[in-house]
Amino acid sequence: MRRSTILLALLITATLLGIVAARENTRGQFIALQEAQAKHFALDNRWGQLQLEQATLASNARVGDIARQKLGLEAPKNDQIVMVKTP
Amino acid sequence: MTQPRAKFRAPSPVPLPAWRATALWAVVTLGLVVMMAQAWRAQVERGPFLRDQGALRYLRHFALPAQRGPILDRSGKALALSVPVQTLWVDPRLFDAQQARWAQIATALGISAATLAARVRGGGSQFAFLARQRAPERAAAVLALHVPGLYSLHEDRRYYPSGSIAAPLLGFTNVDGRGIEGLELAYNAWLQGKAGEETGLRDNLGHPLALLGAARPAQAGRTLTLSIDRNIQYVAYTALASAVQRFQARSGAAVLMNARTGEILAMVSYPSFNPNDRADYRPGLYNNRAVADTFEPGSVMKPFTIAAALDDGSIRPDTTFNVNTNCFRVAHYCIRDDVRHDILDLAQVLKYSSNIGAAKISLRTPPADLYQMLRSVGFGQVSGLGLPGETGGAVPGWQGWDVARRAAMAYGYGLSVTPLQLAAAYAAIANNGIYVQPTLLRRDSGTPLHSQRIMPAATAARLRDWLTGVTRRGGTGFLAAIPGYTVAGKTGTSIMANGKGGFRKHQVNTTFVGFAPAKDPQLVMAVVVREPTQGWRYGGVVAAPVFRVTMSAALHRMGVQPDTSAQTWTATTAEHLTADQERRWAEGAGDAAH
Repeated sequence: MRRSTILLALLITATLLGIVAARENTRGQFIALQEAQAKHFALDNRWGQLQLEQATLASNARVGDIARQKLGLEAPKNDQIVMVKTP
Repeated sequence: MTQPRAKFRAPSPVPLPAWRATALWAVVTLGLVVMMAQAWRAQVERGPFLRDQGALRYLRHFALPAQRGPILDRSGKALALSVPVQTLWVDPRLFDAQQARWAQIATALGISAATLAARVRGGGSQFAFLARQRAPERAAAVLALHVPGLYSLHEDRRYYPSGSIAAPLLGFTNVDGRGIEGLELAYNAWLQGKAGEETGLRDNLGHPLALLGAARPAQAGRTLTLSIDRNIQYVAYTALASAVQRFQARSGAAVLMNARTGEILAMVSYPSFNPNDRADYRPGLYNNRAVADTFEPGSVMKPFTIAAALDDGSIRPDTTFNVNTNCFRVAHYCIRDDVRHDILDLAQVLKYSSNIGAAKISLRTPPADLYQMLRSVGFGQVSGLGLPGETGGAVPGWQGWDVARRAAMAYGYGLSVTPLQLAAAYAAIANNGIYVQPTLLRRDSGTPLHSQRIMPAATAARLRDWLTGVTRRGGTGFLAAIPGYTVAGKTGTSIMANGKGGFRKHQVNTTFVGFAPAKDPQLVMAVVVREPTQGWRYGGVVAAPVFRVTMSAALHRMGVQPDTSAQTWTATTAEHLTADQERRWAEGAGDAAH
């Protein structure tokens, strides 16, 4: 009778500790999830900005302006076009 | 004296009736049974209901926004992108207590204190938008002030990296990310995705405390890959804008498509708008004129008149017409040519764009046959692109055509068409007489969505040959000629109707429709410039150069091999040109800076 009581008390204590550990674990995981979500958002945001930046830098208007104004390029006139034939 | 104390004697136990103990036990047991029964009911029988009721009172459902899919051009370059942004909102019940800090918040937001107050008052009692769709770093600066009652939520904002170039085609979304114009509207269901949801606890600042159960993840919208080529679109837009500005025209539109597959490589409309600035969203600007504007096409319809007449045997390929008159009278109308000619064969009717010749052909052709031809190449009906605002134009039923209408239909009056219809119709001539349904989506299979033979291959081949003459020396469309390639096409200049049965003398629509290389056509393009007010207001002068500049860039871009020698061409063309014509033609691919 006495031994079984002690065993029961031990089991209850273990269960209680288990609950505390599970709670702590959940909290830890939740914080990790929050951090991961924040990171996901930040990376998503960065990705979006980089896509935009890439699209803006490669925009035809910008490339055309640089070609014309900085590099002094222009589209060839008709008499400047030379056709070559592959042998 | 004292009396001895009586010895204490415990009272003798009164025997209690046994029923009392039994009754007590019964009461206690009954109480326990009742408690157990109630616990059973609460935990088991009504458990789910009560738990749900409890959850309703403390759990919150949070929407997980789905990112809208991007719109890409045929080579995967972004035309429309959704980028994460943050929206700031307030709960006025808490935020009102922080009025001392409003000035500080307004400064951080870059708005006046009065605007901030108006926004707080402008919402509901528990929710008001403070600033929508801010860049995350700017929103973070405001949130760092840690003001009670001020919260943020994640949203997406649509950006259009190519700006105004493709704006009327792409359309735009409203502030909630729903497509409300153009392709954004037409493919909204495809692009939109499906919002997810998570359930959990949050504190009064909106920070999550715990999640309950598995979240339903958001399904991002799908990618829409168009047949549009961003580079060709850019060249088409700048060339068109340059023509509209140079000739001080009211508007312009152009469509360039692959004659074999029906894929539209460029669809431009000018004036356009900046899709990244909502203040610019005005109907007059975001209207896609390539599909929404109809006009009387004028001479570009002549090839179809000839095709109908050839097909039903009304004329033969070698039939000639005497057009040597200043006025060819039909009913009480006088049909004229800009330049008087003598006897013209069919090639010359097209080359010199003779109205009298076309009218004579039409008057020999049963009207039902011409009507059938016009309908079969797509006039008078929508093309099936699914773009909002697309109109089918109007081809009146042949039963109502009087003799004047029959003559007028021959050279493109009395019916209305869109630039897209013109491109698709000429694609049928380019494509050996097979009409292909135009599409705005990339066709990886290299085959059209739908195709149908609408004229014999021999008729299409003849028309191709004759239309090549239009861009040769002396032809009305010589400014459309591209060194190294044979070009077939037709100019059109139509006087605008005044809506009262007459015409506005000084208002014209100028058109050029053509394809290249003429011997083995790959690309077809229609250009329309409406109401030019400066210079020579003819399709061959206003619209043809837009074709030349865009088509030459498109031929190079699509890797189409040249089919003629540039030097030979230049030598033969230059002979008959005036100095101004020579200068304009020599611009070649042009430097259409805009």
